[in-house]
Amino acid sequence: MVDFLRENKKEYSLFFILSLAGLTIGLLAFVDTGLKGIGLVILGISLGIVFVFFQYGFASGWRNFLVSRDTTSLTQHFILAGLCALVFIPVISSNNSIVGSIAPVNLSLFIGAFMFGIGMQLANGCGSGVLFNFGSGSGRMIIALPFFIIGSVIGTILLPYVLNVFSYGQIEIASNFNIIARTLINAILLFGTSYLFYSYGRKNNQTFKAKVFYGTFIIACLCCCVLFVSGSPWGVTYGFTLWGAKLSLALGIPIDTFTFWNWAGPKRSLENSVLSDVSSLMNFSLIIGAGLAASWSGAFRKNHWPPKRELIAAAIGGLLMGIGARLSFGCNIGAFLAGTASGSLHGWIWFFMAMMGSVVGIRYRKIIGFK
Amino acid sequence: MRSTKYIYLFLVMLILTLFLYDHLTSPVMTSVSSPSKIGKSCAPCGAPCLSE
Repeated sequence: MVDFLRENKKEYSLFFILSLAGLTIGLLAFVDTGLKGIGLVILGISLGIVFVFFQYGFASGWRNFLVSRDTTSLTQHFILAGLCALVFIPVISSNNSIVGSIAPVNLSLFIGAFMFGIGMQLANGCGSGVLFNFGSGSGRMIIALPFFIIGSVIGTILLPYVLNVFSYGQIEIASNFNIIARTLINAILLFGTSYLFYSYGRKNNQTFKAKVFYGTFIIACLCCCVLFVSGSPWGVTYGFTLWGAKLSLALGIPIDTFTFWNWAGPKRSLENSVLSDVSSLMNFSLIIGAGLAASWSGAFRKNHWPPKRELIAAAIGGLLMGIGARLSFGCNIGAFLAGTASGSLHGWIWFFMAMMGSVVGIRYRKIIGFK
Repeated sequence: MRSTKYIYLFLVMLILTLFLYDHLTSPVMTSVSSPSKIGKSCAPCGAPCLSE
């Protein structure tokens, strides 16, 4: 965890500038969209602070499992999904104005998640990791983020061609059961998987500190708040896609003529203000929150430019994650966490394929010379 | 080794400026929304369902 009490390392000027940026976005969101807008800004900033404070990551945790059989992070991730499922499934099932993260099971899901797994190991961060590490001033993520954005725009060009290839449509786990049974079955699957990882870790004499689970619980609460306020689960990568599309348009690339951007949802978000999109609003707020936490704790000062080969790997990783996220309907947050917590099979497939991709990504890390 | 601080600050300010520019030059919806909540979509990104 980051030490917030070491006053001598605080970056007051940075903290002040980021506070002003957060206030500006919060005020604009409030003026146009009222409490919902400002609520999402506050939730985004809170998530940024919590992610930095607990150093809550997916890419390094999965790598720890694959390299040293350390199951701490995976245990936490499945507890997080299980806690969210206990709220998500009943709320989504009983409320027509709230939608879950339920996506088709198709070929692009398998390929995209595999690509994402490779990319997140090369860049050393997943969707949320890129955001909060960028927000904390990580040089690697300063490179990875623009390539993530480029990759996700490329993904929008590819997705319409592969969307229906070997597609079985949306598959919800235990969809024939009533709400209570469906919630319990999904929660048992998620908590059961967490317990398997926990037991495996205990067998290897691994110790689990209670502190690391506090972060999981707080993030689960914030994810549930996002669901209630926005009407859909927290997602990261669509915001990047929209930023890339708007930039492409500004540069004269007719991205609005492509199929993806003529589907109802993307078309509307492209035509309207970037602040009208939940993911964009939350992404920027999360960057601000992470920056505030890093500047206050002194973590910001530790950030220096990594070697050139690591920056090249971050660029390739960002590109792969961007394309992969669009093909597989999200990242660790939007596809794995929100997908499994919504009771969608695609979330589990995403996890498995991204883990396979991580195996490959870790091999490339060794070739590049990562420690 | 040089700090990333100034490039980071430049990028955050650039994103903020682009956000403001886009916000001021685009129509604003009365509510914040996700693509999956608009029309009949079958994925969080707003992709249509198989039959369409």
